[in-house]
Amino acid sequence: MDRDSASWLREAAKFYLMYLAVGAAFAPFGLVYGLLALKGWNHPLAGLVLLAGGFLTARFVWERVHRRLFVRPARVIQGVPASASRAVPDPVRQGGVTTCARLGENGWAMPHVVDHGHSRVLGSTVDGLR
Amino acid sequence: MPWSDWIDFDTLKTISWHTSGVVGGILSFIVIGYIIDWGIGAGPVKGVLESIEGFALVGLVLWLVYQTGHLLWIRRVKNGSRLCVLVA
Repeated sequence: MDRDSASWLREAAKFYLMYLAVGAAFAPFGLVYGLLALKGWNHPLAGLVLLAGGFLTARFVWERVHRRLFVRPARVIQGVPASASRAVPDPVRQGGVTTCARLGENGWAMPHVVDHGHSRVLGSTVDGLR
Repeated sequence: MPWSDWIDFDTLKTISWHTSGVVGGILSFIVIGYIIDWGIGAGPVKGVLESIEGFALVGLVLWLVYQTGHLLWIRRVKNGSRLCVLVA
């Protein structure tokens, strides 16, 4: 299997997990609807309201899973104060390239703050924003 | 101008990830539902399980539509194009 295919499959697997999480987010609302149906209260409006609730939950779940799968936290090495490590901006929200520039401007040596794994994530983030 | 200049491959690739993810998710929920259904058999719980499965499946399709629309809207703004997959 060539590198591009492996990369595509890896990303597809992540999306598969995220969609599984989304489906699971809708499941409790399906349970409520099922229980309402047992009581004979399965009005279409109730279904719509529950779907909307599931959608909002799915948004929350999607964000969480996306953050966990696609953004790895920077590994802080000894010698860097905790306040400095908290000040490291989120590469996705700030934009990968900008973050690098800011880190440089603030005089933090990149290898001390961000490990190679994070740099890889940063690269894919830039790809995603392109 | 070569035809590849007119197609935003990044968008197509991302859509393919979403599509494969949702197809895998739908198949998984169908298989899980089938197994649980087979294990439980008839009864009032069966209807509840069908509701759960139905909500999960409808939710997945809704979410795919939302994500694809969101993605295409972002690319539309970025590309300045009315057709999002096509680069202006």
